[in-house]
Amino acid sequence: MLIKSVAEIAFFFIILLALVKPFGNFMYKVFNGDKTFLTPLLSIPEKIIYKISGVDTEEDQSWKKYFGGVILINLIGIIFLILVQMFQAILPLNTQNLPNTSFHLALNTAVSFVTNTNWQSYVPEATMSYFTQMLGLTVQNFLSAATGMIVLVALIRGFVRKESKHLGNCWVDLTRCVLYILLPISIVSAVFFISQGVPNNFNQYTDATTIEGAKQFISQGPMASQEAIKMIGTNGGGFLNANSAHPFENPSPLTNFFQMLMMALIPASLTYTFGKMVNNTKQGWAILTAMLIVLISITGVITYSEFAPNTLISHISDIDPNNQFNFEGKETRFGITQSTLFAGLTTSISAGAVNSMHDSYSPLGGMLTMFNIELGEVILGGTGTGLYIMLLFAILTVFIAGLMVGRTPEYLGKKIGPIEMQSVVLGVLAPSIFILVLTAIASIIPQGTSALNNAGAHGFSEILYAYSSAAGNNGSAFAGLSANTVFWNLTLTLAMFGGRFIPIFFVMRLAGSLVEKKYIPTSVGTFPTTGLTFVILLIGVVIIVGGLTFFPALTLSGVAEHFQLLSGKAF
Amino acid sequence: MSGNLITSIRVFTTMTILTGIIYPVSVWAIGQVTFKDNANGSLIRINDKVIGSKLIAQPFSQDKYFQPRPSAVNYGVTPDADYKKGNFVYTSGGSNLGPTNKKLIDGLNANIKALKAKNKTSEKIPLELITASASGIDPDLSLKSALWQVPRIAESRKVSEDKVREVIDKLTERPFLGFNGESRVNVLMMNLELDKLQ
Repeated sequence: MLIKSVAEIAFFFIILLALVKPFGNFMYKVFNGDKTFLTPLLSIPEKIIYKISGVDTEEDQSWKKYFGGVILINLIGIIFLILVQMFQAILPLNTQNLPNTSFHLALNTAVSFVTNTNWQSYVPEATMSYFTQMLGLTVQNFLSAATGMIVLVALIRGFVRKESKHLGNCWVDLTRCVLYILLPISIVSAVFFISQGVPNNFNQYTDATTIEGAKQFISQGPMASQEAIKMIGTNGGGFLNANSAHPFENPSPLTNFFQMLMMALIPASLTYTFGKMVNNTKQGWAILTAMLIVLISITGVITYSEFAPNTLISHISDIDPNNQFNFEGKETRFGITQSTLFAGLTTSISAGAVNSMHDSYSPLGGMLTMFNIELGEVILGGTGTGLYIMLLFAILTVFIAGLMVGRTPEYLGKKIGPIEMQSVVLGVLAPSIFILVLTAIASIIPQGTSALNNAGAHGFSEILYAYSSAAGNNGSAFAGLSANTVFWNLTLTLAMFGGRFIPIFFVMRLAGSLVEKKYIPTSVGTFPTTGLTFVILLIGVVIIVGGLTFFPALTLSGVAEHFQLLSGKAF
Repeated sequence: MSGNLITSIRVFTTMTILTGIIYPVSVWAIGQVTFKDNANGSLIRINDKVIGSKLIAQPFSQDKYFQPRPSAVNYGVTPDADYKKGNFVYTSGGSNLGPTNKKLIDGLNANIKALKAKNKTSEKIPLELITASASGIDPDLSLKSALWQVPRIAESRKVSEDKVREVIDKLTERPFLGFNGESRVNVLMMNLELDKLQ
């Protein structure tokens, strides 16, 4: 069992690592405006898009203009998505005659999908029409993924360009990102998913009478097309309530493997793109190494925790004592390891898709999925998002290293001054404030606690997980929480919006400040950011910032529950 | 700023058409041409009536059929009374009961009791057969959970246990590349196969 489990995890990471360089190189070419193998096919559609969108491709934008573009298209997305949901009853492709959604749900869902969180307060198959899923949610799956990536590219240009004011053109970056990267992979993946059993149609739900005569409605809809971008864009919002645990979204171990690979592909490969852009691929490999060390360690512990028997159950004499793994909320075809590997990836990647129910995980296993999010979604992280926040941590690391030896810190040839440090610290800490303050409020008022599905420490975990997931733009949940209420929808909206756009603002401000600076050549006094020392120091900073911020809260949730379980307490 | 606003509205519109219409409709067209059966939900028909989907578990309570894992959402079944009123159930999902929740333990005990009432085997019960799946419509059983039910099915159908085991063998699906995921058997396909035995 152990060997099989290790083999499954190792196999996944070997395949992932093999893809990082070729795919990272491809993305480098796309963002650099170079020719790729897709150029002959897509250069004409690209020109058409610029023409009908009125994009001036020659314009090189300041950080304010670039940021303005990013914010505006996101705000327009929120407004459009709210309207689509609130009028879906009169819009086409509503095969089940689903009613319009409430305003607070529409707002929550709109902000959720625009911020790449994909938190879902609703049961999709009973709430959203095909029109809403397709023209509303799928579109944002593309645009939110692209938003993260182009903000990252702007930040890297801030390092690369010298004594300039310009960071590139956000419309060109966005268009190329969608057209050359996200769309082609999505089309290929969607067709692959269909070949493996994922439905894709516009039929009504099938009204089936089962063999024993029960009435069962079988969900239908354009699932495969949404599933593809849901994974590749690290979105994670399911077409169906059970998300990637649903046999329609994820029918087999093969599709499961493929889904995990898809969600990790862009975040992992972007480290290579980054290295290539700063003209030193070792810089990218160092960051990827730090990410993978943390990711594999935490995933290992989650897996171990789920293989351990629940001591409240293991004494029941009728149960086979030989495989008392934690099967509650897991699917047979995946077993433990494909579930925990998925859980480790989806929480650290900020995807938020789930193929098992984290709420039913063991106390420590469940706590670590939450801890992955609380580290700031930097262990791979979302598309672009993960790396730009990780670069803030890298700057923090060289700053601390600089303090230790008494030198002005520099990173990638740029001196780190007060404006940079302000942006870094505020960008890193902003999401934590939303998590802790809102968790505290929800824990003590009835509007918060009445939504819980579990009592005791586990109930507190449901609250903490919800706000961590929202502010970290992850979207997974301890899903017992009944979050479709005014209080929860509004507070989670606040956390998602703040957790997304405050860091984006500071990252863009940082980029604007860096791009104006001179390049300082490396000297003997420069702290090398490619070696093992840097990797270890970076891991330390990430763990300490995440750990110190959330350790008290985690003690009250997973740690407390673990000891309650050991002492035989149930609630 | 106003130039930026107009451009962003235009880019948003173009992207909505591209990713919200052109993309899903192309995938739909390709899917309907190349994998029509899958694309429409892997439905199974008997005498032209849909009895379910290969990928979606349905409830089985008779002794002669394999039973799927417990479901926290009652397999998405609409009760007859609600069906007549037009209150249809569309759902999926797990119990979301935490490891220290009394309801989890009580539920397991209730499931054990129900299984013991119907099965006279002295074999211990595999845990996955009494725990709720994540989707609530997990179509599969582990080999252990399927084998555990063999004596009951053989007795009820008055066939040899070997005959029932042959059905399991025939329909066993292996992990991806032999080690990713688990070996499993599809409950509905087994039950359809069992009905062919007689």
